[in-house]
This record gives sequence, structure tokens and C-alpha cells, in this order.
Amino acid sequence: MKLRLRLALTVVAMAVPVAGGLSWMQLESRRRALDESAASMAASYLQNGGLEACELNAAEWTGPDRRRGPRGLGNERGGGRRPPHRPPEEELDFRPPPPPPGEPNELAGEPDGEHPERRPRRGPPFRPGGDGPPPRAPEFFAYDADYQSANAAAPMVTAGLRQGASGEWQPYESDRGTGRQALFTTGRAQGPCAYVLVRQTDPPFASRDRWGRPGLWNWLLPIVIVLAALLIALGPIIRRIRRLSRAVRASAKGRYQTPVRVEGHDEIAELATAFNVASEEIQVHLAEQEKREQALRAFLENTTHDVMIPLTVLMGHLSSARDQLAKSNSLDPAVIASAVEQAHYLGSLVQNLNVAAKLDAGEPFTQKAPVDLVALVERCVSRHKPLAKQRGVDLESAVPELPVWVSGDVTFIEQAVGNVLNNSIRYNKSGGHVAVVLQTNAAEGFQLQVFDDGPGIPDDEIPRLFERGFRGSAAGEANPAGEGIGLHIVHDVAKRHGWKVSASRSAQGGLQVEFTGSQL
Amino acid sequence: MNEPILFVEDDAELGAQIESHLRQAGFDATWTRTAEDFLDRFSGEYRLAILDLTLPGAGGLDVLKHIRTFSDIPVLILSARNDSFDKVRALKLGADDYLTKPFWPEELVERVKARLRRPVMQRQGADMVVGHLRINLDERSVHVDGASVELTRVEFELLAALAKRPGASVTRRVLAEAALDPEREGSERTLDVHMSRLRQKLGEPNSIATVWGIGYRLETGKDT
Repeated sequence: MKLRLRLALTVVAMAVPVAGGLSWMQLESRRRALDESAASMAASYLQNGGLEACELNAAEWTGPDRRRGPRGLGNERGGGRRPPHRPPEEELDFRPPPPPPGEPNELAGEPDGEHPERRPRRGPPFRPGGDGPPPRAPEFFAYDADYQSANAAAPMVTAGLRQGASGEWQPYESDRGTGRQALFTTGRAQGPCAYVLVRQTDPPFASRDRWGRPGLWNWLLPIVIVLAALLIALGPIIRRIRRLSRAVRASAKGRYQTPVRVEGHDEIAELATAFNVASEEIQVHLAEQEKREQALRAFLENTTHDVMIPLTVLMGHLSSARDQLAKSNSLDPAVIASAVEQAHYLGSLVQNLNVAAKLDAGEPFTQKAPVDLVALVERCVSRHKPLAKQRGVDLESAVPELPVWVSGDVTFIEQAVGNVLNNSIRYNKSGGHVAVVLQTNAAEGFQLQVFDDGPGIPDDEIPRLFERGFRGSAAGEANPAGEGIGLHIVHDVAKRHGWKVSASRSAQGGLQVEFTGSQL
Repeated sequence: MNEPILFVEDDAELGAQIESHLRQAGFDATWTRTAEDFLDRFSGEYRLAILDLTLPGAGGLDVLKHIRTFSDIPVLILSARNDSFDKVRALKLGADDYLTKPFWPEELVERVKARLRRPVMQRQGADMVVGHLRINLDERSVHVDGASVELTRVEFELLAALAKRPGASVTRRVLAEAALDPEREGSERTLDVHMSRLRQKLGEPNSIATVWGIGYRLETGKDT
């Protein structure tokens, strides 16, 4: 449902009951005022001669004289001004009968007196119906102390009336119509006028309308005006919302790169701002996702490219071995050794590419969990023992007795340490030594050293050691098909864990790589 | 040796290789191909279990969870994914070790041996017994095959430090801290002197090996 329609329905749904309620209240209060003034008028009349008139002729007494007024009162539509020509209606005049000529008519409401022969002015005569159509004139009936009336046409005094207070208005229904009546106690307990019943009959159409429909129509115009004003005011707002929707759709098409224009300072502007903030976040996520996709693509490409050469070399070695065996029924251990190394290198390379891709792809792939460095070193050494044995390199290690806990990603750390070990072993010669030492210090820190008595690294190359793709002069000889990725990972992993990694010349003249960091 | 080992591996070639290498290393290896098979065969007689995580169906982790409800047997996990989440989860579920493929058979054998290693050093009362050595820390006495050996304070401390971790390399720094008073005996340079004297006193069967770049190790003659 569109806004305008919803607003219109809401206004109507709220306004109609409210208007109905207000007009009912208005009607009620008018009735009350009416009742009060009618009661006081009746009382005043009774006190000023009405009772005497009653006692004079109780059987025929029906209240004050009726006068025909020159003008009608109101019309069936109610409200508004009185048009000049009206069918003459009865206009009830509660004023006492005009005094004999010559005496001023005080109750006529004309302070300066007026010629008594003159017809009563249009002034505010008593009109119990208020602005509505004029009611019939009230009727008076007299009853004695036993609620019997001398007037044959007098209605019965109901129980409700007897139990009510003097002058309390109650609704009544008769075959002539409905209306309101009140029973007054006159104080003259003897005689035919102990009680006086005043009856006010409703005009025919008024009895059908308990809700004061004339009153409701009063409210219609303001409701319509308010509704129109709201709908008009809504116009610009709806236009702005539509503009914003268009801008959002356009931005979405362009992958949320263009922000929407923020106009004004109200809630719609807030919405526009919120959308811009959200689209910035989306941009960030999209960028991260791009990065991850790139990393994966790079991994695929690298794997394919970098694995193929060593694999081919391995196949070459195995092929040579097969040929040798076929020709001379013996095997040159060197060929097998080369095959073994190539296979080891392949496995290590694939793991490195895997880890590098995860590092490139960012946070989600990094775990932060407790890692026991003692167990990790033992695993690493165990993994490289076959390679060391193959090359005739003595691999030793020393770890503390108790576990050494750090926070980090066990795979990355193990790969980094393994890469260092791998290099130390590969660039060493037969009879050489490599040692791995893990120690803790008093300041809750740890030190992990890998050192060897191999050829070492020229001093000028040491600072560049951890650059991606950098391969020192020594590397070129040992393995032409390698990639500088191993030590780059070492550097990256150390950085991510907040560790320091340094390379230097070992005491034995070879290379020493040292990790330092804090324990958990 | 000859410890019974039960393992599950669904790949035919790899399973055959593992079985062969374990047997060659002297273990009594039993190869099952499915999780159900493994659980059927499992009993208290086995000393170690190897589970491959790439098992279809129930999966290695489910098997692990299940056997951990009634057994403390050492469990070694094999996996093709070099993934930290997997490793941490496996260890949390009760695995003792984790081996990523590709691996050399020697690596597998060494890890199995490490898990099956019996404590080489035994404590009997106040005594430490390692191979031919019996060391009493209270009395500060050392016996080699029953015969008492007279050691200086420093020599005793050095021997005790090594004997606490038989087969493991101990750094010079740790040895120096354990045995040498920095003010009196001096630094690590005098360590070698003390060690050579200790070696002489103990004689051949209890060799103390020099570990390159690190320090010393008490050899036990057993597989380490």
C-alpha cells in the first residue's frame, strides 16, 4: 500500500471516531446545558406564577402560554445562520405573561425596556434544541401527592421518575415519540400540584439520531482540510524518497561505488547517509573478496607453474633409474638421492604455496590458538630427518623439558621453521651439521635458533634474505628450480605473530636464523 | 618391539605401503579399510592407532571421538589438509599427534616410535635408574652396574641433569646453570673439562655423547 493511501486511511480512521466522539461529547454537554437551563426555566416559571396557574386549573393546566414566533428557528440541516423565511415554528416563551401595558417587561432581556405591545424581539429566546431543529414545546403535567393527575392526558409517573431526584432529567418513550422528562417536587404537598412533570419531546428526526449526526457533519470540513494538507505536504517527501530509491538502484548497478546524494537534515537524509555507510562497507567486503580470489588464482597459477618443473625433474630421475637398472641391473645411489630430494622439494613447495595463498588471502585463514613449540620443533625435525640423512647432514635438536606455549597458527609456524631447516640442510654438504635449539628466558620469552656449519650467506645478502623471490648466489647452485618463497614466508609468519626473525653468521661460520617472541 | 598397531586407510596403495613400512620397522600392524572395520577390530590389545582423516563416511574424527569414550590409546592422525583448524580440532578431540601428507615412511615410523617410547629412566624410590646407572639424589651416590662411582659435586650435578632426560640433548647453558657456580667454577668453558672427567669415571657403556652446536646427551643405547 502506498504512503498516500495509507496516510489518508489512517487520518480517516482516526479522525472519524475522534470527530464522532467529540460531537457526541458536544451533544452530551449541550444536552446537559439544555437540561439545566430547562430545569431552571421550569423552576423559575413554577415559582413565578406557574404553580398558581396550576392550582387554579390543574385539569387543563399544561404549562406556560404558547406563542407563535414570527420566525422559525433553525432548519433541518442544523448549524449555520437562520435564513430569513422559515415556516413559522412554535417558539416557546418562558417569560411570564406580559404585564399589563405600562409596566416594564424586565424579563424580556431588554435593559432599556421596550414598548410592551411590540412583539418580542428576536433575541435569544429559549430554544431547548440549541442549534438543531427546534423541539416541540415542553409540556407540563401536575400530579398530587399520590401521583394522580387531574389532567386526563397526563402520562403515568413511572417508578424511575419517582425514584429520581427532583428535576432529574430522564429519557422517555411514548407512542408520540421519545424525549426527556423530569419530575419536580413543588413543595405543595396538599393539592393537585404536589409534583410537576415537564416533558420535552424530541423532534422526529432527532430521535433517530443519538449520535448527533448534525454535529458530525460539522467536523467533516476540518477533517477534509487536514487530510488535504497532509497529502499535499506528503508530496515533496514522496518525491524525495523516490529520488533516493532511484539513486540507490543506480548505485547498486555500479557495484555501490557511487554514493547517493544526501539532501536536507531529516530522516530521509539519515537514510541516505546510512545507505552510503552500508555501501562503503560492502565495498570493503568486495575488496577483500577480490583479494582472496586473487590469492587463490595466484595459488593455482603458481602451483601449476612451480610444481611442474620439479615434477618433471623427478620424472627424469626415475626414468634414469629405470634405464640404469635395465642396462646394468644396478642403481646409482646418486640418482635415487636426487629423486628423493626432488620429491621432498615438491612436497615442501606445495605446502609453501598453500601457506602463501592463505597468507595473501588474509585474516580468515589465520588461526590464533595455543601452540606448543616443543612439540612443533620435534615434528619439524622428524620431518626433515630423512632429507638430512639423505644428504649426510647431521640434524640435532634441543628443547626444554616442559611445553613452551605461544599463541598463533600452528601450520604457518611449522612451515616457517621447516623452511629454515630445509634451507640449512639443502645448502649444506655431506658431513655438515644443522642444529635446532629452543630455549626460554626469564622474561617469558622464547628463542628458536636454527644454525649450521654450511657455506653461510655473504654478508651483503643477509638483509635481503627474506625478500620474496630473492635467491642468493648459493641458492642458484643447489637447486636451480627453486623459488624464493620459502624465506619470504618465514618473514611474513614472524611478522604476523609479532616475532622477530633475524639472520646472521653462525659461530661455526654458517648461517644462523633466530626467532624471538613471547610465550603465552 | 612388535607392538600391535591398528590403522585405518581407505586408499589401497597408501594402505599397503603403510602396512609394509610399519612391519619392516618391527611393528605388528593391522590394516583396516573402513571406519566400521576399524571399530569392529579395535580392542585393548593394540598399543597405538593411526586414523586417516580423509576417510569417507563416518570420518576419522568420528572414529576418534568414539574410541576416546573408552580408550586412552595413543592416536596418530594422518591428513591431506595442512589446516590449522583441523589440527587443533583433532588434538582437542584427543589425538596425540598429527602427520600431514605427503610424508616419508621414515617420518611415520619415527613418530610412531616416539608415541610408543617407554620411559627410559625409571624412578625407584629416591633412585633414578637409566640403563646401567643408578643415581640416588638424596645420598648423591652413583652406581654403575652396582659398583659405586665417586663423583665431584659438579660431576654429579652434570650427570643428574643428563640422566633426567635420557636420550635428549641438553644445552651447555642448561648444564652450566645446573652444575656450575658462576663465581667459583667459571663459565661454560670449564664445562667440557668436567664432562670429560665424568666420562672417564663412568666408563664406556654409559656414553655421554657430544652434540654438535648444542651440548651433551646421555645415550641409552635404545632407539630415540
